[in-house]
Amino acid sequence: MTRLVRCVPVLALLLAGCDALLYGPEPAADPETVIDLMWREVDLHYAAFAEKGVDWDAVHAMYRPRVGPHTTEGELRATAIAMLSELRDGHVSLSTPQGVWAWDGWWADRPENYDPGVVRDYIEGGLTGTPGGRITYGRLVGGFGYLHIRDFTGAGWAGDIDRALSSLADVPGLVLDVRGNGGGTDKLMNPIAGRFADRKRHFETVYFRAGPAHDDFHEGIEHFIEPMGARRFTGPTMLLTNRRVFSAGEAFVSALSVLPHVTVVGDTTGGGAGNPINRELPNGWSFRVPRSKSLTASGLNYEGVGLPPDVPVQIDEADVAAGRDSILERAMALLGG
Amino acid sequence: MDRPPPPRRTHARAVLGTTALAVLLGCPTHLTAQSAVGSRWAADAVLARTVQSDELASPLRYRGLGPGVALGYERVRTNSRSGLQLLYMRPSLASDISRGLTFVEAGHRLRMSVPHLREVHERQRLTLLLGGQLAGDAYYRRHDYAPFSEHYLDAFLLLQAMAAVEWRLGPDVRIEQRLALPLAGVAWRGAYTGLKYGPSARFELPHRLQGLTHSVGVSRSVGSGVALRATHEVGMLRHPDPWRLAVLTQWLSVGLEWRRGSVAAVPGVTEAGR
Repeated sequence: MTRLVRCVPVLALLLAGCDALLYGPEPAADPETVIDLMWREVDLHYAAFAEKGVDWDAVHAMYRPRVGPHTTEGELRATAIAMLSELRDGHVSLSTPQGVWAWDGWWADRPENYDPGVVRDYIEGGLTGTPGGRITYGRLVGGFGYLHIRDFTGAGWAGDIDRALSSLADVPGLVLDVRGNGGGTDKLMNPIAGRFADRKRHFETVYFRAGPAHDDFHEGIEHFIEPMGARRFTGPTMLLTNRRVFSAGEAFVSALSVLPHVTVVGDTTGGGAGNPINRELPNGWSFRVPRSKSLTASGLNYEGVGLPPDVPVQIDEADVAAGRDSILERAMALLGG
Repeated sequence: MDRPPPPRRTHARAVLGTTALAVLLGCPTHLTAQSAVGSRWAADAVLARTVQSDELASPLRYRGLGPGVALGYERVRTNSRSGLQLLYMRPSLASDISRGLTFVEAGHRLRMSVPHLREVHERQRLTLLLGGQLAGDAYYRRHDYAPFSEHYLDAFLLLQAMAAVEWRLGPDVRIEQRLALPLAGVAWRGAYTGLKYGPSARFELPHRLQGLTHSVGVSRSVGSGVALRATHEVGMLRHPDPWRLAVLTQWLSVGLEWRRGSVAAVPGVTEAGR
């Protein structure tokens, strides 16, 4: 038994030194491992292969031969970007020491349909901003309220909107402008959307990947909009959108679209419905990829296509030249201005 | 990445069999013949080093140190030990490439074990004990990649076979080694996408749920009923689904032990009982 006892410290040392047995080898930082790992991670997490019509195995077969043991960092980055671009997804990005690349095809060739400088011309007495500058508000010529939400990034400022809603409590109608709102987090989007809710309503169902097969999804998680906050506005509301509305910005549009007093005016949104995660690569790079898809209450999967407005309006070149915001004007007209 | 088949009935029978074996090993055959000798209470400060591979969070390995605290109670009988041990750790982890950057992970880990050991051999100053323990391990992690974070929670309940050796080096010093090996268990793992969905439970056998611990501790009496103690422990935990989680933790603890009953007079428990 003494021999047995003497073996115990040896066992302890083995346990402490058995990293490789326990974990397997840690991924190397060479170009081939990096590109293979990135491909595999996208394969295991990305949620919209079917919606995008992407054959990810074919993408690997196409781009993998470009990478070898002597591939430079610049060449590897170019190949990684080319692979990720095949997903045509605005939530997909790659962070390297050379900078952050993000796919911009969702808005790059589309009209801007928004100029904050032009909007100011429609405001009586100028715009007021909340402390963080994410919310600006004022009164339109004709007495309607105007409220712009720049994004849903950061944390803890959702209550700032109460100051704006207090100031606009007496307006007969509201233009709620989210043009250019590229998203952020649902933790801010939900309480702000709740300021415009009349009652609890289902607006979206989210499906997360449930396994390595591309079509393997968990059961849907239903998302609701419900009244929140001390100050709320449930009068006639025109919600202005453009192609730059994306991600949590689109979830905001999706949520308000189910409210009977809200009309969406403007251009189709960007089409980014996924919930993204960031993943590391062993050479110090990281990339982002969405692992969920969303269906609106009416069953529309807006990934890659966007949310269409109730009243489509474009700001054409003549309007731009004349300094007119035809989307805002149409919204004011619909409010009765 | 193929998902494993559901557990078969043979697995359930094996679980029952190993459970019965552990109970037979751990339980004394003549409970009524045993008289209480005393008890030990312990409180320790812990410094733990964790190395983990959590493929749900990252394809890379994460490492880090973290503080903790341990509390223990052991009831000592003439030829058996039983007790309760609690260990809380607060690991703070990062991968080699993300250290100081945006990818970091902070966690809370709570382990609870209920061991029962029975003397099977004694010679001179050395006693060998065999038995088993029920060990629970709940591990919450918050994986940050600014500005977002993911939350993960996994929990494991393990039935382990246990062997222990006690040395009595003179009247004041006692050394104890313990080794626990898995027999069966239950794993509560988060879903493929983490805590977006509730954890699901499944029975596991050691070929899939591997959890073992080894500890070496020394205590030295510093007064009537009080001892200083130091313990080094290594724990390994590995489970494959839905993503592989492998955690190797080493911790060093230093603390005090309060002894009651006849174990207070003489650190060597079996000496005191005979």
